[in-house]
Amino acid sequence: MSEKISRFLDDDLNYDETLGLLQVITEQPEMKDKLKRYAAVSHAMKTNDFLWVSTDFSMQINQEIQQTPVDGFLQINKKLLN
Amino acid sequence: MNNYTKNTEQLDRELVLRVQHGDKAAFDLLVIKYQHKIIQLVNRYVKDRNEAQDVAQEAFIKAYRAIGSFRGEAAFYTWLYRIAINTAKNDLVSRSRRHSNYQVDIQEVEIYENAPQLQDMDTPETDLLNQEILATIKKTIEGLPEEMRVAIILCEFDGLSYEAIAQAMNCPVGTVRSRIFRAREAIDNELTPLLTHGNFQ
Repeated sequence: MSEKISRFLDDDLNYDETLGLLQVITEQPEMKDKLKRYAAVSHAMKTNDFLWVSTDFSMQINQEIQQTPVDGFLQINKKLLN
Repeated sequence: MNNYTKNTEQLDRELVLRVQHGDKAAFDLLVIKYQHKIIQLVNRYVKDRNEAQDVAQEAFIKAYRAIGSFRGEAAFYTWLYRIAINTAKNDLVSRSRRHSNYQVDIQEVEIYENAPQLQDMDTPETDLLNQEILATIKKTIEGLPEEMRVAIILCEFDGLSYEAIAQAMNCPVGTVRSRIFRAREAIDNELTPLLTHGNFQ
């Protein structure tokens, strides 16, 4: 699974593999942490700047979006699928 | 558009479709994928990293709320990028209104759009730790076996796709995947104790 995290960062996963990864990082916080570390290192190598993003960052976004209803999306999205 | 970019855009669109159908975890994946780029982008407008992270968070939340209107005409990142820039500019304007001594010329800021951070407000301790982390990454890369070192350099520094790296290194794509992964694992193994010790959570 760690190799899939690496491949995800390089856009080498197909859709089904990405969904599999999504499932894993949802269920296993340690894999999500690994993804965050890999992403931070990847960014550091590209920019020579280590930018650590705290766990709170995505958690607070998550808390906020949990309160946002999704009904509005579905109507718009039906057009995209048809 | 090369295959690499095409794959990124296609995958992002598929994740966005899932978000539009109510899969909030898919948005989490997009956040992790782009959070560094967005924070760095915002950091060009906003003084310090904590502020930049707050503004970047706001940008992601705005993107989520507006995601129903995303129709895939542009790449997801392009769309997100515009939201982040507008959020950063709005933040500067509202701060300048709140504090009379916080005068900001947004046009002047835009000149620096491709520059590094306008002003880095890290503490000396954080700065020292960051330098230590960067040095560890560099040292680990230098100590990797050549085929792993070349693969990770071509991938991260030169931004080549796995296919292009495979051609350059005259090996199968699967070998490239494995070399890049093993290089990342080696760096991660060296870095994890440092991050734990440095209280990065």
